[in-house]
Amino acid sequence: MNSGNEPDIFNIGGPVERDQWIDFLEPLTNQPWVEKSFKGTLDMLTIDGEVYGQPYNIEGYGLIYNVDMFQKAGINPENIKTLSSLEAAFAKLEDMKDTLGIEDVLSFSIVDTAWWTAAIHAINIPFAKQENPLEFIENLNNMTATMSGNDRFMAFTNLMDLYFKYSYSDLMTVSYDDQVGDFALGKTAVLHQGNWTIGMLDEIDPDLKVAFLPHPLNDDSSWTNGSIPIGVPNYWCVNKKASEDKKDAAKLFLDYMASSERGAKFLVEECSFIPAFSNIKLEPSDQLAASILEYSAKGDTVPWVWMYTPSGFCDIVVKEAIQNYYLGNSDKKAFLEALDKGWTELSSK
Amino acid sequence: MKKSMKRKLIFWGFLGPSLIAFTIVVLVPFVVGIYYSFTDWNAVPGSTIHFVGLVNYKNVFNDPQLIRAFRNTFIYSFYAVFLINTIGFLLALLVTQKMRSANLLRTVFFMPNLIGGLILGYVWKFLFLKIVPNIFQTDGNMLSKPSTALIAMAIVATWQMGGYIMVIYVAAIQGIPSELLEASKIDGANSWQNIKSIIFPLVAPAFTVSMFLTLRSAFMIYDVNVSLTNGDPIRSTELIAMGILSKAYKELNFAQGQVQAILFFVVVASVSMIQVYYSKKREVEM
Repeated sequence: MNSGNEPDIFNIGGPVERDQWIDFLEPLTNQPWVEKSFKGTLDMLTIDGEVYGQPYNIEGYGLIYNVDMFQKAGINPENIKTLSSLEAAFAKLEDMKDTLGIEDVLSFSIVDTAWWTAAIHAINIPFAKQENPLEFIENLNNMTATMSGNDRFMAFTNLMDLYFKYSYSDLMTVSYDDQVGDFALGKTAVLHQGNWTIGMLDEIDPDLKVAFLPHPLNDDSSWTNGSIPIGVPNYWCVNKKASEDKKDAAKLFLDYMASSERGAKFLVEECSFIPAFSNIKLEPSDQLAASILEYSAKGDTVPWVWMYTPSGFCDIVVKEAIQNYYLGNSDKKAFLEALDKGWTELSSK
Repeated sequence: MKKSMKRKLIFWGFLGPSLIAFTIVVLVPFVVGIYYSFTDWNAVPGSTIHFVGLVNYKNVFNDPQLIRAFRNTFIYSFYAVFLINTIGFLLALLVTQKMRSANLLRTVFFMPNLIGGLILGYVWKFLFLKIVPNIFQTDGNMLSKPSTALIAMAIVATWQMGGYIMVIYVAAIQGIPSELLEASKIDGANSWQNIKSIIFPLVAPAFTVSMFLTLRSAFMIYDVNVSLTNGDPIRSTELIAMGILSKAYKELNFAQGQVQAILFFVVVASVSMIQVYYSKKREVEM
């Protein structure tokens, strides 16, 4: 953008970037694909009913489990909807380590190229499982709510403890390749990741059977414990300051991607995307995408909320706080207080 | 008249291109950067920039992470300067011995300096994580603990720069008159006494140069930092250069990052200036 050679189509990650670049966003409300977009997928780039971006795709993450191993261990994944059932399943896998041939139960990471596994994806859970996530964020911003003392966040520390207990003995060096590779090679039974890993999993072991488990925070059935977080990672936007004919061409192109058969084929088959448009009837080509659609058909989904957090919150504050908590430098209370402190500093500037 | 015109033409002909490049990529951004440090600039083109005076400069001294980054940088610099100079000097002693492979060894020791820091970082990360623990049969590794991660970084920097500093010491050692060494040999000095009383004092000027060279490179390190640790664990290896980028690009606090960059510039410039001053003084003495 600053090069002076501005693009006609560019991408915006979420509401924080949306507000920053609002002067450059061409309204796309009357585009044909808007009506066909799934409910909720446009929310983040909508202001007062005006839509400013086209969703790339839908992605989801959760605890990916090795179906064959769960069968061998006699664990029914259908029953894992509470924290205690998840813990029981992990304990059973731990006991059967030698039989299953695994080294650790869970592939998790808090550092390196997979720092976002913990500092973006895991931390999203207590935000997304608030009764009203966006209201909670709003309250954090005007300082009427805090994370320390919040029941979802307190429960989240228990989930983290569970992850730490059943994952690698040293989490401080686990890269993305280690994490996904170990799971694909059968060294671990569960992987905390999303459907984008399918390419790498298939490449290493095409016969691997996988599906998603939810991340439960406790045993309370009134919390959305049986759900997985699903969201739109990025949006295509049209540059408002481009010339009219360029803007028209850009809009035409975006519509072509969403509405034409070839666009749909490209999204589903070439990119292994789950399209965000209801007109695309192509079956998802992989198991993880199928598993996500299963959850969303049942309505067992929670949103991605990290896009609403202040810049620097996840990649600086949460990352450091989780590492400190893991290393035992802070207890549960100090961990959550560090999050609050970081939030206040970043949102007030 | 004509001759002086020609000389001027040649002078500007050679100086001009690099002067233009220097102005465009260094001077102008530098001045603009100083201007931005007094504003609330957020890098979005077209947005109004407000002049905020010294607010950013006040904030910078209240930023605990910056103080931490400076402390980390000092600790790291201490390790790096010490290790690089020690190893560099020892290597120089080794390759100035009378042996057949001396020239080959010089080349070999110098070679890591030709590899980019980014690649070195990734290579060494692999070594630290997968190879070293296997050799020593431990589960621990240097990169996962705050206390050792900086030392690990200094080791990589030593591997990269040791050969370069070695070359400087080699030149200094070769400049020592051979009659001095012969005389001490005749007086019955052993090799340790030789090093302590003859070589060491006479390579002292080279030591000053190397000292400041390594100090400056240690201060400005960024590439190895990114690829080896990327600030992990718990931001304990986030040195100043990386801290500035975090401030600007992760927190999207560009003006504040700009102030840190200026502060950083002042520190590095001071170190360099002291270096130049001392090297000049030495030259006169010699």
